[in-house]
Amino acid sequence: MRDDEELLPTPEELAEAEALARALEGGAPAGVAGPEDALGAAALLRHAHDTQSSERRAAEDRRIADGMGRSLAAIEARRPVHPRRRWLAPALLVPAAAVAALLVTVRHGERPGGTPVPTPPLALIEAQARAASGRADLSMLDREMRPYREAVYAALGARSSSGGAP
Amino acid sequence: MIRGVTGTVTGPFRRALGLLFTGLLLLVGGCSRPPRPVADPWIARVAAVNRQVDRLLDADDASRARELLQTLVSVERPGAPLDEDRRLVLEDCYFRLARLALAGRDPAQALSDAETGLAYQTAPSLFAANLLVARGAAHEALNEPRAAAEDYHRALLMNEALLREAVGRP
Repeated sequence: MRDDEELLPTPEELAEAEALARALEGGAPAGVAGPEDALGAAALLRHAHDTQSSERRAAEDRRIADGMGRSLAAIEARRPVHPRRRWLAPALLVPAAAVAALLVTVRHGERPGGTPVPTPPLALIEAQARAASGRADLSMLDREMRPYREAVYAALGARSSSGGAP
Repeated sequence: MIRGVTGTVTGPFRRALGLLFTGLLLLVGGCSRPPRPVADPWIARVAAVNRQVDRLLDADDASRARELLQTLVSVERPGAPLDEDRRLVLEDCYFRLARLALAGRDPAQALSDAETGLAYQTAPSLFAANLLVARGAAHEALNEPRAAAEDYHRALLMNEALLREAVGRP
């Protein structure tokens, strides 16, 4: 019986064990002072466990990230390529522009604008103003037109020589 | 895998077909236009006739001068379509016809000539202003002062624009 009594924990040992268990679980001892060395060991163990957990979490994150990267690469590789859309735009836009230009030229059959004619001289403009205000007759205006007419027709001829007139 | 192989094989062919289609359209468009002459013989002919008209007017032969111009715009008139240059030349010819009709005391004919010339107008110009002056003078001779004033006013507006352009002011 003596041996049995020695094997049974004393109430103090039970209180210390409870405090140690709480320290290992991260809880504070409830009013019971545990063994100092045991509590320190428990703190170290808990810290090591926390450190290991954060490292595990980081490793897990890296593994997930690597997996996602591989998955995205695989998805990207499996994405269907549409070569038709690449050539479709220029192959349609350019002929459409050509058809539009063709329709315009065939429809009108002429250049969009005429040859730039020389600027009329001031004397001619003044003669025209006099004729428009009744201060001169048209024969005077027609006479003033002679050199300008020559210049204009020469400009039109030069334009035609360069392939401007149809 | 199959899609990738299909895309790399058919892509160049499709591009080539697109370019070929484009080239064919441009070729058809280029061939459909009439070949452009080296020079416009009609404008050269009008210039020569106008010089002859100048000489006839200097010799007081207005009748022959009008006859030449009338032939130019009727018998020798180019067919449609008319480009801007030929329209401008026709405006000038009809101005001269209208001015000769007024000199010959025929305002009705002058009015008709001026209106025919103005029908070729596509943009304000010195030649269009000349035609407006001629039509205004014809209206004035026909005792239509309101119409005459309107034509003179329009002619002066064009004349003012030409004057601003000549002196380089906007």
